[in-house]
Amino acid sequence: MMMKLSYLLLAGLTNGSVYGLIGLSLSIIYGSSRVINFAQGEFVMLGAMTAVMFLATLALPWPVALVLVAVVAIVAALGLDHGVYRPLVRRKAEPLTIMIGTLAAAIIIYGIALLVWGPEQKFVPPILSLAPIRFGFLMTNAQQLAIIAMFFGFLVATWFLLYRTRFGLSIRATGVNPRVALLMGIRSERIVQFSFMYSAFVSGMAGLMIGPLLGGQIGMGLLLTVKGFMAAILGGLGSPFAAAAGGLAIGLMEAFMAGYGTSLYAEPAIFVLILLVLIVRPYGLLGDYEAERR
Amino acid sequence: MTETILKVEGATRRFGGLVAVNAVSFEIGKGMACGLIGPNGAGKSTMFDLITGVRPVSAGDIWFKGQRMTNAPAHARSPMGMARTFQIVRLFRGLSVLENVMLGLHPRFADGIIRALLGGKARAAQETATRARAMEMLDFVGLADRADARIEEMTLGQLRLVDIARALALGPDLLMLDEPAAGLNDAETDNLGVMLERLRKQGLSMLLVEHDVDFIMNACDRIVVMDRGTKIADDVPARVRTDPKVISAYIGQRAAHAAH
Repeated sequence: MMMKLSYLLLAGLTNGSVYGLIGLSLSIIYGSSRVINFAQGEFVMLGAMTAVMFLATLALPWPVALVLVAVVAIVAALGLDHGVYRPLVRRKAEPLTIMIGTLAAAIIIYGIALLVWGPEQKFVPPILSLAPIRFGFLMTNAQQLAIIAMFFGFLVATWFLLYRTRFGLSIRATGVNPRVALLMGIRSERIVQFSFMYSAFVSGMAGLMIGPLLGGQIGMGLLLTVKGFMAAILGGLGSPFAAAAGGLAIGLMEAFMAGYGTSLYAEPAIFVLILLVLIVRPYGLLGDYEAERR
Repeated sequence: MTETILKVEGATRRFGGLVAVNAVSFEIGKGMACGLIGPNGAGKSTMFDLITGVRPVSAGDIWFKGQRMTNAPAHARSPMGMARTFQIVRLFRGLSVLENVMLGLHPRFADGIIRALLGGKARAAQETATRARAMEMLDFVGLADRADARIEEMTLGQLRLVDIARALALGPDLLMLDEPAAGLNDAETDNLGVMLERLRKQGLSMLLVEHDVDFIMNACDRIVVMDRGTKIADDVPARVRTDPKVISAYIGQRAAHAAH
């Protein structure tokens, strides 16, 4: 009884952490560019798959692999920025058009991944041990704990960046009004570029860490984008922290509904719940300042 | 004449067939407060946009501190020492008053992403310096006690002052004010006048675009008058006030209004 509760709680928190980090990534990009990046989940996929490549195929020590995973994610983000965002925004494309552009990028990344890794599911070697650790009735392992710790670590890092650095101040200002920010000497293109890089880094790391638990498969990206988007909508797209909290909520709901009900109804039930929340609070559970900004 | 801060040479701006600004030239000397006035549709706001780089000139040149700025984008002009305020106050909602002023300091402290994240002690010191400088500016405009208030909580008069504090934070060589008195009540206008007088005494060069003729006559050393895109006068306030061309431009408009 307690075992099951413990298992579901930990599984929910772990998956929720990843959804939350994707939600946070989406929110940061949305904040600076008003674009939902449909390729966000692909960065998680890249994180998991390059982890397979660097840790298993090339058998590199994990610190080296971690840096290389980050480099791949950031290079992919730069590709997205220079290949999709900039060319479109300089041609005065609407955010909606750019969103379709990011969807195209997601398909391209998926296609390249298919060529490199093939369609089968791969075992992603864990950096930390998967051996069970017991705290009272809680059963977990070091990898799960590391994912949850990473979630909170990125929350603190993002908060510090946004609220304790001048660079973060210019990110927030660009989010409120990019045109005026430009007049004050803040180049919104650079801010957007940074948000792509930062969120790709966050998502890539999430992929590296969740890979051993979910398994690495090149098609995992789209589903994760959807989960991250749900997280951001549920919590509130206007705030990275609200979006992250939404991720935890979705992870937990998913785990408990699958565990105590049936996994068949878990997804529709979550969608209904989100729908109900949005009827009552159209800007998400925790988000309301987004509304007044308009 | 003293050193020239701003030199506008034959500035022209066309919108399709309409010539909004037609070959206007004037200069602002160091330490001078120059007013730009004219009836509605005279091209003042367009002129202002040309100087700030919001819109490009169709012809002519803009020189700032001896450098040709004609093609410099807006964001490149503020780091050079041009600061402006906005008629419709454009501050960042959701951020605090202090944070808004800190943003004015962005060009001076513009730092790389890496340094912003990993700068360590130097970054922390710069952070503190930015905060202190912004606080000093708020103190100057008399709003130090509202530093942590959100922009949404301020009155229009206070917002104009925050905007001025933001523009001043960078220690600009030229402060450009776009209709600073618009929408203010008498007390707020007086307060603004006192503030500008203090800046003038400190030797700051200023360009004011204004509707309120009495306000600008008191606040400026020199007045440029525009009418239908062209410059019709450029002189000290006392002489501009009695210039027949200026009077007829303004009376012409009043007559047009009366006829409606």
